[in-house]
Amino acid sequence: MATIAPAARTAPRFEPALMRRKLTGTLFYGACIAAVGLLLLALVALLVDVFLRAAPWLDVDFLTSVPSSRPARAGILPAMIGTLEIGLIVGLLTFPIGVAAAIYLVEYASDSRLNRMLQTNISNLAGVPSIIYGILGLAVFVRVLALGPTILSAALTLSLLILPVVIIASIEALKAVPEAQREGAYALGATRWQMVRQSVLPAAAPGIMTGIILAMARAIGEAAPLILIGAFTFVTFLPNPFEGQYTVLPIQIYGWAIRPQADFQGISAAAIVVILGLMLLLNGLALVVRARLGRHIQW
Amino acid sequence: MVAEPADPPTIRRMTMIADAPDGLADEREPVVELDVVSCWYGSFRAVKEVSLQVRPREVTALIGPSGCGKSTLLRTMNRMNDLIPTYRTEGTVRFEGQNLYGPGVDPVAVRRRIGMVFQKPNPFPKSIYDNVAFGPRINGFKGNLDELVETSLRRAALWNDVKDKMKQSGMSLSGGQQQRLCIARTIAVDPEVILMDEPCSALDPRATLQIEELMAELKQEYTIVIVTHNMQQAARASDTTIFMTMGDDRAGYVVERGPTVKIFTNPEERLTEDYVSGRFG
Amino acid sequence: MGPDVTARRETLDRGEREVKDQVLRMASLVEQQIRDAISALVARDAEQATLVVAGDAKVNDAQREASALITTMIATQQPVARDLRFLLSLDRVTYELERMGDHAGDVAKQVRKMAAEPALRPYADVATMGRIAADLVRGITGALVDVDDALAREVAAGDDEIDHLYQQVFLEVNDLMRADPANVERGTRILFAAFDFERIGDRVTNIAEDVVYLATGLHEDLNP
Repeated sequence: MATIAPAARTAPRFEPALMRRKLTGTLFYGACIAAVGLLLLALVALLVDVFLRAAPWLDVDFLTSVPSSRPARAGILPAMIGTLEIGLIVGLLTFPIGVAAAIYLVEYASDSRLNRMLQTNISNLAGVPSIIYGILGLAVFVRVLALGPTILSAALTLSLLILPVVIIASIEALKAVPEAQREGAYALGATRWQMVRQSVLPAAAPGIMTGIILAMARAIGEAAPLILIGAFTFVTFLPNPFEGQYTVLPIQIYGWAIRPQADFQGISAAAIVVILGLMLLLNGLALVVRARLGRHIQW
Repeated sequence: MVAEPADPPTIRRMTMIADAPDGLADEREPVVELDVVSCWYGSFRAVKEVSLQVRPREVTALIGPSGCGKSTLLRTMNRMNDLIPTYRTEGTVRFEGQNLYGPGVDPVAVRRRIGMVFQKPNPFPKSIYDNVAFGPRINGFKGNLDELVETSLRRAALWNDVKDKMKQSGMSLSGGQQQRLCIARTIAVDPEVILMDEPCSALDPRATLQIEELMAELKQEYTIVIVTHNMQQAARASDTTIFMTMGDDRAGYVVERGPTVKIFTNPEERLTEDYVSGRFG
Repeated sequence: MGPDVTARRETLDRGEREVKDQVLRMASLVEQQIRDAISALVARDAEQATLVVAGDAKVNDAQREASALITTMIATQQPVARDLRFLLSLDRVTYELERMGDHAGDVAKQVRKMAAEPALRPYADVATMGRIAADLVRGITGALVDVDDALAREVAAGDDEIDHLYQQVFLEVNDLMRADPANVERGTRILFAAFDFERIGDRVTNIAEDVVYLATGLHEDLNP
């Protein structure tokens, strides 16, 4: 019986063009490095400039004195106190309200159109320019509620500003907890609240805390809304939260920076270094908190 | 007959039960009973008119092809499906004689007595101790928690592995250990029934065998219902097997239920035989 | 593997022990049947012979039970390698034992028929064949328990003696039958009984081959 030879198998044809592909990759890599490099360069240049200007003016007296018309004797104590008081009140207000709102939206509310619309709106609020919040604060807190241009009003206004951010961050942190954790808690006979409190919240805590700390860092860096609500640029006494004039670090910096004398530029730079230090501290705190609270988490 | 030893050993008993005329020589009261139960997700019926019984202190396996509703049926037994908004059960599910879905029955209370172990081990991101103590704490346990944690870990064959690292994260354990941790925390709340939804499918073969041997010990105290798509596991580890499949309307139904030995040596239904011998289309 | 889980496949091991126990139970039944048949033969006791015939039912039941256990084990535990060889070998062993039980029953049937008439010749040598066979069954049981291939070979060698005795009986009875046609019926029955004992010896050898296979993994012909 004759055997028929099978048709020759045609192999699929490749055109590897390896050199070109690798070159493209290398070029892209180079572009990324260039971008990062530029950014770092700009940042370093900025920091070096500020530090050089601030160096002669940074000392303990600077931190503990009140402002004065003479740069040599000026200090940032009232501004620091103002910033810290505002930061504290903002933290105390936004933490419970923001986290509770997030918990409600993620764990309790049903996934309805209303719910989704709410979340979208909150996201949008997070992007509203801060000066708008200033106007809102002026109208509602300073005038209608007659709280006057005090630290309290400022804190309330800034709370409104960062509340959407806190809520969004908390929502993301809560959503990042896998559904399996909730099922596991339910399967052991937990009520919904027990499941949230004992299982989900602890698991979301690192994300939530980080969100709050970073939002607070943003809040204490704001100047525009506070100018509208009536913060002063020249305050020589320690402010009282509920009445009287006050100032905060960003505004103090502004106040000095607009003076023409070179010395004022100097102490302005020094104040910038202080606020940068504060930011660094807060960011560092966020890192530590995240690491500590999230030490058991591996997902 | 050959003179019987006083306490019939297990394999012999299984074989005897399989040969008994109706295959169910046992007269014990069922622990969980399903009476013409259908499971609906909105307008889609996932499980159709299933009636079955789960007998106490043995391992009942639910086998069948993917998507036939085994997991849905399992989760009906501890009301975990209540968490899905569109879900609805028809028919009666009885646990120790009481209707689980009756008015005034709190699903939270049900879930303490009918525990569940999931497909992918899901230990909490807490220490090993806190993982096991979680259940007792939320259920208001009054007593020596340390002792309870140790007992539970011993029963789950995990104590020796973890007794020196109780403060370490539950998630730092290997897959098989994590699953045993989940079993330990389930038995810490003293359930009557343990439901297992494909507990070994995320584990390697050795860990799988360890869990199966553990089940053989656990069934002396607890009733176990296990859903598995691994037929060999059902054959190795269970006493009773229930075979389900999907009908043309995509609703699952029970084809056959019987002693495991019978299902795997001489089942009644042709469909069952095709499935267990791997000839299922 | 953590020290907690020391039991690897304990279910499988336990099942194998159960199967082995059942097989040993069966072997001991068979040995007893053989000895009872011998005693019926020597005493020419038809009643005892009838009991032996009835007793074969127990042997058959035991074989069915053992087979069912082995089927269960294979179906549910998916044994492979050593475990599979073990279970399949034991299945063959129960078959051999069951046939041995049949042979013992056949001897008893012959005894029943021979009991009415006077003995053609002394049954001493046939009885000896039987006793050796029963001892071989006991011996091979021991070899099976310990999976001892040396002992198995030794026991299998003992079959030669039965064969030798059988040759002798065969020649003698043939002479007697040739001498007088009236002896043919009784002679034939004696030959049947002797043949049954000889077959028992052969089957012991088969079991010995299974034991050797279990112990060494090699197939050896112990019955050339």
